[in-house]
Amino acid sequence: MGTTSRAAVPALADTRLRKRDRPAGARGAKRRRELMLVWVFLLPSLIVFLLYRILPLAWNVVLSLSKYSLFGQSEWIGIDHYVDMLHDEVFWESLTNTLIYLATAPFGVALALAISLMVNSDIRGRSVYRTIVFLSYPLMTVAVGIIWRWMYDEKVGLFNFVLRSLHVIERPMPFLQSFEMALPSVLLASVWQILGFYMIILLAGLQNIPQSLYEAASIDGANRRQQFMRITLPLLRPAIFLAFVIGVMTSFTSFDLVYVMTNGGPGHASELLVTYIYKAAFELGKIDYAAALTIVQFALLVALTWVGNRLSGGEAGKVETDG
Amino acid sequence: MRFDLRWRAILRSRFFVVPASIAVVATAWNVYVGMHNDGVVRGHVTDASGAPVEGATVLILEQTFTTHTDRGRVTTGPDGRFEFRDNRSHHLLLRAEKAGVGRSEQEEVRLAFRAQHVELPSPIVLKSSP
Amino acid sequence: MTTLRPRRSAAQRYPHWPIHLALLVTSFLMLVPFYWVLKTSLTGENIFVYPPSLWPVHPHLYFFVDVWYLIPFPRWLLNSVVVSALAIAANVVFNAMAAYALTRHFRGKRLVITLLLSCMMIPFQTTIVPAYLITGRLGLLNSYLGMALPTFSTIVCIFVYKAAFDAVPRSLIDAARIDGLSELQIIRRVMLPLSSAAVATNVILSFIWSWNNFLWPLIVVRDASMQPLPLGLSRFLSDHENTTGALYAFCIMVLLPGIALFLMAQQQFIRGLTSGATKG
Repeated sequence: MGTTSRAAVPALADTRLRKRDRPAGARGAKRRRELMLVWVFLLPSLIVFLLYRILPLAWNVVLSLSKYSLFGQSEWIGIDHYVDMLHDEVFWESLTNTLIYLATAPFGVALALAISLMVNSDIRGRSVYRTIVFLSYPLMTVAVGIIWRWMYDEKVGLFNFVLRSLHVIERPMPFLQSFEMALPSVLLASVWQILGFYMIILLAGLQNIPQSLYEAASIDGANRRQQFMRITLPLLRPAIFLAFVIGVMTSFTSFDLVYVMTNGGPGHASELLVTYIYKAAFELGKIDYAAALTIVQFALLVALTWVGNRLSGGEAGKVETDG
Repeated sequence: MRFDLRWRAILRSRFFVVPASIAVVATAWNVYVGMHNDGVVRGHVTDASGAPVEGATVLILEQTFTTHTDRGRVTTGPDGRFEFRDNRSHHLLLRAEKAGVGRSEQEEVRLAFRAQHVELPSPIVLKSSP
Repeated sequence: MTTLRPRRSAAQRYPHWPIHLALLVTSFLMLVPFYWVLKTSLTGENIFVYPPSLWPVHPHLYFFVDVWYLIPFPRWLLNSVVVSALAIAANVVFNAMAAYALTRHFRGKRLVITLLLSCMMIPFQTTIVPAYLITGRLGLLNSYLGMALPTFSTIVCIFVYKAAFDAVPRSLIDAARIDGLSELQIIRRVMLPLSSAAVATNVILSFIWSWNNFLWPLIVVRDASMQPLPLGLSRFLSDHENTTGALYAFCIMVLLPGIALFLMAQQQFIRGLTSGATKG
């Protein structure tokens, strides 16, 4: 490899010198054609992302600063919507709920970590366990919401049946209709569904840790707990960070489950930012206000991800851009 | 020869076998349905003692999630048997009555597909009205 | 003379049965919702009756028949299938093309990759309002194309393809070019067949995402006849609530394709999720 590159360099330098003398040489045309080809091939995907990711983000900013009208001109009103937001009780409630949702993500990740460690050990049938835990993730969230709604039913649901049979409670508990229990109930369903995804990510991280490290450590006399704290956890940091990012994303995008199970109710006890945005835009018709809400939500998402990145050492998410 | 091996690998892969089996089963089912959906419902009516009742009126209702629709009546023949020819539904309610003998409970008939040919095994029993 | 240590030292040998026990309990808890909905779809005895019986009592399949006939299930199924087919086809084509372009070196490549990665940070839910306006301007509201368009390309899959394409030896591509194949033909005849795992991953991921998609059709669809299955299911729920076991039969019917496909192609699905993850 070394000799060829050394031989190639002077040749390249040669052609470069000569290229300036040649008008639109074969190499130049070929490179231009290749460049055009690359952009043509990139175009369909880029158009989709432009139309449905980048443009909407920019348009949201514009919308949030104006008064949108279907028929006439939209007029610029500055930050009025954001000011309204500060006085909007529902906004604060949905923001609080979203943050509560977020705060339970670490527990889900910790639980998934425990399961991953167990599945990663060399017991028999671990791929079966892995499949069973992961099975809940590819399901249609609407159906999952309906299933859990049924289990939470006050009169005939499974949870009430179990709790009453075990005499933990005496009277049926209205899980999804009570102000205190609605959000936690939805959270439990959400954890059930996302647990498999966390587990998969953590498993991938665990399997990337070379076995030789553990062997060397045990030869040096480290016990299992020390091995876990000094080898596993630090090397798992990127995977844990990723799982955390997914948890954050889920709390900002978990529309289906809430819509089907409680529709934000009772009152707004289980309203999330994302469901409030949908209602503001498509049920109340306040498209511009919904855009402002979206901008706030996105800013929060970016801030949280950045904080998480810093907390996890800043290495996660690094990607080779020249590969 | 290389392509032959590749085709065999494709044919044996589960991405072909599973959809192919589903297609085969679906076709076989549709053939079966086509052969048995004449819409005939046959049954018989007896009284409380088990004797066949002649001339009882059997009322046939079509059921959806929320509604019953009257679909017609048939009368039982001398051996207590009746035959309804025009069933287009998959969920029926039958009720029989004869003046002086009594009326029956609502019998629910659920079919695997619409207009399935069905011979009801158990009789519709008329109970005397108090 | 020290005896040779066994491969697993005492610190690493541990009893397996507590792990099995914990995993069995976990598996049981994860499977309970499946069992419960299956039981209700087969018997429906628990709809109005308390306490429920733990085992299916007089199971029958007639709720599934109800779902097939009494609601426009076949039509909704067709809608879902068409939208998913569109999404899968477009995904494979567009993502492969973009990934092939990214295997070349060109000016601005780093910019494009950074752009794509930052687009991954924008979740779909933050775009719904303008996306609705854009789709309206394009005249695609209430249409199959409008439902499928936002899912026509996914960044995760582009990188999955790129990793697979990077592994194809340069000599093969050069040989194909010498043979006179155009670039598109190269993708079709050389790259894709050698990256069948990446194609499978893309097909699975885009199918699952478009099949399960609820929020976007909810926004875009106006006619009841254009609804895909998730919307139909939600509509059924709001019409009939908990009054019939057919709702749960509907759930089962809707979950089966996802579960079946997942079980068939688990490896590809998992690899798609983790490779996208490791790419940032």
